[in-house]
Amino acid sequence: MSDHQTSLDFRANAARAIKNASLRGALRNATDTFGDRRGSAFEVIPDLDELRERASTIRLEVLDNLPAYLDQFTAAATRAGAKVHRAADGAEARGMIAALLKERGAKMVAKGKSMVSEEIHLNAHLEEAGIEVVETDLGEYIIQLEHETPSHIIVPAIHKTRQQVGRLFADRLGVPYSEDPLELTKIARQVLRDKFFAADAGISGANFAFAESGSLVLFTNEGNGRMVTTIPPLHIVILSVEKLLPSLRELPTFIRLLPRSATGQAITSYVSIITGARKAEELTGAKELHIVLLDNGRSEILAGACREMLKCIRCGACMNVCPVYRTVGGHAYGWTYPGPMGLVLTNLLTGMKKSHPLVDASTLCGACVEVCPVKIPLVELILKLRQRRVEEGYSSSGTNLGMKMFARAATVPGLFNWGERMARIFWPVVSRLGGKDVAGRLPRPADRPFHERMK
Amino acid sequence: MSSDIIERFLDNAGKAAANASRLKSARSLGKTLTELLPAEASVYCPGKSKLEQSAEKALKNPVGDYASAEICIEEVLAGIAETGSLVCSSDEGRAVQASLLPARHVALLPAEKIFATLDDFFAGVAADPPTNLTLITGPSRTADIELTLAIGVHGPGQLDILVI
Repeated sequence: MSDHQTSLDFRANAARAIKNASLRGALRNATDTFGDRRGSAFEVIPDLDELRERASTIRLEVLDNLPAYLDQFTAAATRAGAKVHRAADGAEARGMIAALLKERGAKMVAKGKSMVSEEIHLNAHLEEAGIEVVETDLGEYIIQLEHETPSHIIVPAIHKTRQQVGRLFADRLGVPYSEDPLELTKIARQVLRDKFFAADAGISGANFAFAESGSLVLFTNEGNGRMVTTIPPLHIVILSVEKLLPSLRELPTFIRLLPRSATGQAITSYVSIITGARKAEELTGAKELHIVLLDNGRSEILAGACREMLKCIRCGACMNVCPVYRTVGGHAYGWTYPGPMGLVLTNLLTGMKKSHPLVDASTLCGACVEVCPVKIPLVELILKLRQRRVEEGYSSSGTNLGMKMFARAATVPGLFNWGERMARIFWPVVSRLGGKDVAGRLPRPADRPFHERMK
Repeated sequence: MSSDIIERFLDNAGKAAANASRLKSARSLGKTLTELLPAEASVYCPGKSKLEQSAEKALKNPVGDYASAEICIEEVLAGIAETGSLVCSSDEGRAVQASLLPARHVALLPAEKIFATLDDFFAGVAADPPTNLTLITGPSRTADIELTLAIGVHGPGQLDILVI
């Protein structure tokens, strides 16, 4: 992942990924499994559509009144003993977090899984500042050892086989090689348990924050989230501003939707609700809680035509059903968020100049729209972005010329018929000169066009 | 407490791989624990509630430090039938990590503390929740390697629930 390149090279990345047979096998296994589990998990919900509609309405209501909800959240969290910080962009958030850690002399941080911290490259920045960062989610731990980035927002190491993880652990941790996931999990448990207690601070994300009470919620399965947020003396939470919900009263709706959409579980093993720092009479919990509310482009998206993207609750269901994601995997998208939600969000956050190639990463089949638990109109948004790409001049000149010619021909029947004749006559030449690329991808013109046969 | 809700709780907790069962009365708690737990295991029990105090009497090897205990026995704040979840809280000076660090968690749940739905529970705590509220549903788990289920990652690998 690089922020310095001029544009994300989706085509080249995708072409490379398609040739990687082990990656494709792992992707098919994972996305099929999640798809099946999601389907059966929702069978017990009597009216799924009504539930999704309710969730969508709640998310829109938050977006419509975001500044007021942020103020309410800040006041409530402060009352509960947390310190709330607002960061306009990644640089400001990174600076704040590094300063908080440095002021307290922190040397090592235990980290829970957080996609927004990936978005702002928090780990790299803290490591440059001399602070050791240990990812504690098993999938994140694996890719941290491998110096990779997540390829799926729920299962970051989805692209790795058990043999690869076994060799990685043997190399980096000096343990005997094993390819048994249970054994590998045990090894990670042992290595990481010491880290939780040695850590000077815990850093985590949050799935939602609640305006009424100033609470945060984390959905986790392993228990590392509970460790990171309650054992070290300092807990820093980073979350993007759109993650607010009005009240804990709305949490049940999202408990019913998020784990089912993500992994097909009725609920995750743990749902941790954190409200402020440890109080005087309490035995556990972080003594200091700092919450960094990150904007990083959200306000701009909120003011634009694609604001519904901010309803997203990061379940990953859209990528599991996406024929493009299922074929090329998450790394091909080149930035933090992959799949249908990822290509839209990446485009909105990083701009058309950098990410215009990504808007091609969709067949517009609409499978993502059908599974989205908060009813984001992803296909509509992708079409808007494609239109914007043309308007902003990032479509290729060949495409523009072709589209103009087609538009002209399609409105003048004589020209259309002439074009058809030319295509038939020149096909042998075109297909030979164009080679496999043309002959393999373009349909051969029919000897008698459909509209003539229908006469 | 209708026995319908208790049945639903037990059923859903079982589906989440918890070992959930029902005790007719608190009097049989000591006997049940003796049968359930290995005699030599080190057990942490906060001893704050009546139930916890009667559990304590059955322990051969009680320890005061939950971080080094093999088993934690504690009364929990609530149960939720809809999901088979337990709720642990930091209220009353309780340690939320007592249900996290030991390899086995034994939860004592009075039947009248079971809520039918998530909404019923959250309506009561939404305005002013304690510092830590944790919903626990089944043992700690991961599927991060090839989506193969592994039980007992950082939290307990075994969860027993005694509904009383």
